[in-house]
Amino acid sequence: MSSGAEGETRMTTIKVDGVEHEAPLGGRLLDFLESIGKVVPRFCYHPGLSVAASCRQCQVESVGKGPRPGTIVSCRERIVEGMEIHTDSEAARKARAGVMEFLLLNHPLDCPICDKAGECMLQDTAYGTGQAAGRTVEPRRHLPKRKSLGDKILLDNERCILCTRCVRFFEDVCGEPQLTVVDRGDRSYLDTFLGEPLRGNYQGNIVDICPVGALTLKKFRFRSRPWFMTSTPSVCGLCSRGCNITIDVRNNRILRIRPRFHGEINRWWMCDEGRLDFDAYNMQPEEGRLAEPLIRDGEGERPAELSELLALAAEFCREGPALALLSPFATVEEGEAFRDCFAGLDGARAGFLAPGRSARADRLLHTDDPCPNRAGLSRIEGLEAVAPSEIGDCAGKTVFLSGFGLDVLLHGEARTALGRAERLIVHGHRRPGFGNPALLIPARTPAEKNGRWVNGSGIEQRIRPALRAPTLVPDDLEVFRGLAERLARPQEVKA
Amino acid sequence: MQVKRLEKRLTIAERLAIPEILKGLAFTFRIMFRKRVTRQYPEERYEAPIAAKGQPLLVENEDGTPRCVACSMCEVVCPPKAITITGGETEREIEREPEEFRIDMLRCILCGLCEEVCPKEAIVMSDRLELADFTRESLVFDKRRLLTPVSELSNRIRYTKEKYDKWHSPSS
Repeated sequence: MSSGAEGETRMTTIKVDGVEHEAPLGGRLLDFLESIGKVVPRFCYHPGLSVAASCRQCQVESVGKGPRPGTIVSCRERIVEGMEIHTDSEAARKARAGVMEFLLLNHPLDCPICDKAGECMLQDTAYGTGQAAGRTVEPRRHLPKRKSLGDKILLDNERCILCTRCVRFFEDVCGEPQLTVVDRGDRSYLDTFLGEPLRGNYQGNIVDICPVGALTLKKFRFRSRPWFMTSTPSVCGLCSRGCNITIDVRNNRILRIRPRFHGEINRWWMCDEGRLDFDAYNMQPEEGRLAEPLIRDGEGERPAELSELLALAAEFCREGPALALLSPFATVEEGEAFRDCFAGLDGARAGFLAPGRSARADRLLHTDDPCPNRAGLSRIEGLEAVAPSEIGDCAGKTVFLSGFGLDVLLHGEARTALGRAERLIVHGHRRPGFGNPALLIPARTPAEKNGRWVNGSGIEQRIRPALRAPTLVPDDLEVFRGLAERLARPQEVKA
Repeated sequence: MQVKRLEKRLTIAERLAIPEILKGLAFTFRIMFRKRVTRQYPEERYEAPIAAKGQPLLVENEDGTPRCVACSMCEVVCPPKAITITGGETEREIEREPEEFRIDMLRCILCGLCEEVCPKEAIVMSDRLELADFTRESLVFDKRRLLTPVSELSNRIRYTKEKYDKWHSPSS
């Protein structure tokens, strides 16, 4: 956080609660206090935003040299020589308790209804340092409680404590101010410019950084209490940025996705696309999720054992010139196993689908590459990158399409070309929507497996399973290993 | 191991048994004329005192809306995890209400913690103590079966309020 070139950070000794510490000269006091384990409550300060110092909740007492003696706002203060700080003195506590009392003057007693309850900074701080009962008898201020800010976010003006984090997010991070505090003093409230709906692909972040429940996500509203959900750290798969995310799951359904800090990739943010587009991961068998191995049987299909399907698939692959196409959503491990499958097969062409660049890139996070693991798969020797235009004519061929997301990335001509294949084997999380697959092997979604992805800038990251796959859906690696075994030793296949 | 046997020798009266039998009969006859503590159950029902904790029920306001706001405090506190709530949005001023509220009475241990924790006085222990049925499914109560008009539960609500006021006097 401190400015100045690396290695030039000068250290100085300051006293915190009577103990001497080495601190970076010119560093932010609040960050330093936090780094040595002091708990300093704050609402308006966020490391990713400019400093407003408007909530005054992070006050500590300064008694030494440096800033004026008395309580100081630690998020705004820089570390200077000879500083002496008391974080828990009478004066500091009194100042913070006073701030809390003012904040709670008009805050509605909404916690049982409010979605933020359980992860609310105001609630936590009120528990920790606030008083149990208010002293006011005056009626509370009433403001609009359900104001829609576009199609993603809902604003509750009563709950807002005017920390302006969301205002600064649009100014500092997006560079396009959209929210503002209207009116002055005790009448001020948060609103968009001219009351217009919010625009852009990064609105969801203001819900994360809102310290209270003023901004809520429409998609998540009232879906679950935060403490009922299990959080799994993983990586977003909707573009090659590889934003670090936390997947919150309850009853084996994803309810929301939040960004997770990564200093070099996404910092504290993520785009709304990655945040809200998780319905494909939540797809249930009754909604079209492929949940068991199926074999085409005349006009219909019949369920079968995976081993039977793999044996048939191996036979098909040996029969015709085979084209094996892996989804760019596959992990590095799967890519290697996939290549090994077809390495020894004559006339087989194995590759991963490398679709063209999209027009989706923006200044902030979203890249123009819709594949989360293009970089990782292109590193694998013997696995060629196949653009949709290079698929060529598939008539008379055996085509093996493998992995989550292939159907989404294939369009128009490529679909028709693949649909003309003599024998189409589909290994996917749902039916492809083209061709007439002879074999349907269920695949896992990225939210159901372990593995590595390499993002567009070459950073290797691990994805983790947040959901349990349906019982009869094998791990993708198991499918590739089973297929490799049957391709390598054909005589045993019939057994 | 050495065992020490304590042997009580019976008196002559005890060995004769007749006085003991008479003693027993006397006891029996004495009891016969006392007030009965048993009852002819299915015909004569037990009227539970107000403090009794029967099946938890949801309070329905006079206007037919549930009092519950689906805050999930009872779901959290429930020791045997008998409660399942799905929240939902309403058009009313109180924006949240349970879309689904299930109490599995096979699990419920009638501890009353849900009633105690509820910030809205929306779930109360009723006087329903006969909790047997022939199928498991019928003992999982959904919102529709749990919602009870406030008039039927007002005694219990008043009682818990009294207790609460007593325990949480303003001096504390």
